Amino acid sequence: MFQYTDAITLRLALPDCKEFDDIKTQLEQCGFPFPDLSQPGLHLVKDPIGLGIDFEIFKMDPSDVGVYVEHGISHLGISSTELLQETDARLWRPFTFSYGSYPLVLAAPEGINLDSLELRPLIRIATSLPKLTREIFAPKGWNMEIVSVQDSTTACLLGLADAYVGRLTSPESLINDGFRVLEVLGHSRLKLVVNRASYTMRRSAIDKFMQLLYDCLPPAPEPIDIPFDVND
Amino acid sequence: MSEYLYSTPPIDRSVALRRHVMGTSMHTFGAWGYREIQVPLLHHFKAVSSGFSEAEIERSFRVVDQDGNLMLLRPDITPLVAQAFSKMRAPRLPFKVSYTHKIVRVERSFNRDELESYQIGMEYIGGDPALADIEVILVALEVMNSLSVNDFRLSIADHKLAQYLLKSCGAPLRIRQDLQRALIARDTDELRSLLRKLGTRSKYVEALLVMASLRGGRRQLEQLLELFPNDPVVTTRINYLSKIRHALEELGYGEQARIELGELTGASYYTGISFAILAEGAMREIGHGGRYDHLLESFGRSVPAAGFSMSLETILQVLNIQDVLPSGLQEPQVEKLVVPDEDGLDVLKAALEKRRMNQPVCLVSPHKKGR
Repeated sequence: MFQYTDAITLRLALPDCKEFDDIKTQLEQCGFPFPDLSQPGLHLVKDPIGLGIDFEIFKMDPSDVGVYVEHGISHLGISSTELLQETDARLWRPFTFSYGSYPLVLAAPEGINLDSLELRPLIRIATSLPKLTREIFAPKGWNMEIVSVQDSTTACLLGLADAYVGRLTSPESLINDGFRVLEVLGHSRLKLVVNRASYTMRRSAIDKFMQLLYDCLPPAPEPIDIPFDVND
Repeated sequence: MSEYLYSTPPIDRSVALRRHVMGTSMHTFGAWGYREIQVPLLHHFKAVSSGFSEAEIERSFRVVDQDGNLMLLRPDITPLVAQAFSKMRAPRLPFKVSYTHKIVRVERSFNRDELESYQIGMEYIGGDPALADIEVILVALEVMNSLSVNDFRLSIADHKLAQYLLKSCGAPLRIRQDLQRALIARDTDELRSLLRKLGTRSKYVEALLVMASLRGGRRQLEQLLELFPNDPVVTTRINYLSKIRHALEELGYGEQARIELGELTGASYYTGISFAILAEGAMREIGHGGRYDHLLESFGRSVPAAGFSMSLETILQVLNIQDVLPSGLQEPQVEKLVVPDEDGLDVLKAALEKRRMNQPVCLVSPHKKGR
């Protein structure tokens, strides 16, 4: 069992993801001296905001954040909702960041539309979110096979899959790769996640940290213009 | 195929610790007047399935016996106690029982699916519901304290109040489930967004946001009462929760037990107040309990009930063997007696003599191989 050294230390797991710089900027705007996270391991930040709270920060693979927080190894973390749904992590999600909001889409190479896809005897969907994809498509009754890969675009381009499910973070890249969106399946949001037991024990410190995030919340970026297949 | 947890079997002190947890818990239950009950491992699926939700059945194991009957391996004890009770001719009420049983179901574990675990718990069937609710909480608190669980919190919620407010939103069942998930995750933004799509009246939106807020305690109850001062259901439930909160505070449990209306976890059959016990270091709640007034109805007998159960495997995650295991349970100094190939009777007699005096002995063979 992990031994806690200080009752008012908060351990924060940060995702090594596209939004990392936005998170860093927001924390710095809160007056949080951001440590150099290029080295692995925990980085202690002594009472960075003058609230009597020390932080231990570490950077990790985004899909692992939920696991670390759920098991209480980290009290707090930042994770996107589709990854939390994928791992079925039982956590609290009390704060939503204004950035890191993306549509979750079904996309396919140009020329494939929903009708032609549905006509296939077996639809192969590439995704890094197999569980979530299965749940989304279960009510559709499609005869489908989930191809669990990290790089869904390549899987479609090389013929391993017919379409893919994933976050649409850059419409330009999607168009450049020759893909179009067939359907919006949901929305992914970036959340501060909290271990349930940690909150009950460190209520005051976590409340203060959340208030700080609220105070320095940057304006939300423009919503993404979704490149649907115009012929569909 | 799922990767299940076939762990190395516990041995020696690990088993002693398990026995200690089971023994201490059962002793506490017994001291509160709970008799021990044992329910079978295998049940006719048809006979008990009405006591389990679809999700619980999905997580369970079913086998076909030699006559072609579908059988269920016990996935949870409470519905099986309810079924056993409903078959009794004229049980005396309140019917108070406790148990420690192995259950078999797919349970999320540290990195794989866990199949078998011990469930330790008690059920209070019939009697005065208000007394039963407070007694179940007090017993759960005593069990945690007697096991020396450090820094645990018992969070109290109310399923009746939550279901009433969720239904009042006018949401269909599927959306209600999404709302409840957002509420449990304290995801107020998601909750607000779902309620906005439904066009829910602002008073109910406000109420659900209060329930989902991280600030529990008396203030949470007061805020709901301010929103619905004339609603009989809300006022009745809030007054009831306030009484329980007050009683626990007066009894010295104000720090360990707290109102947290968003903590709507636990079994699907809870209908009234419920609670979850949390401690840092455990992956999920150590234990949970609550009122289940309709579960017995599904077995043909309408009696209100409440109960509490905890997972032995989860509680072991937060116990420190050094702190918990009494010295009496630690490995005793065992005297080794070598039994010669011939004429070993004297040694056996000596061994029996020592055992009569309750001294530990260990018989060993003179051959190296056997040592």
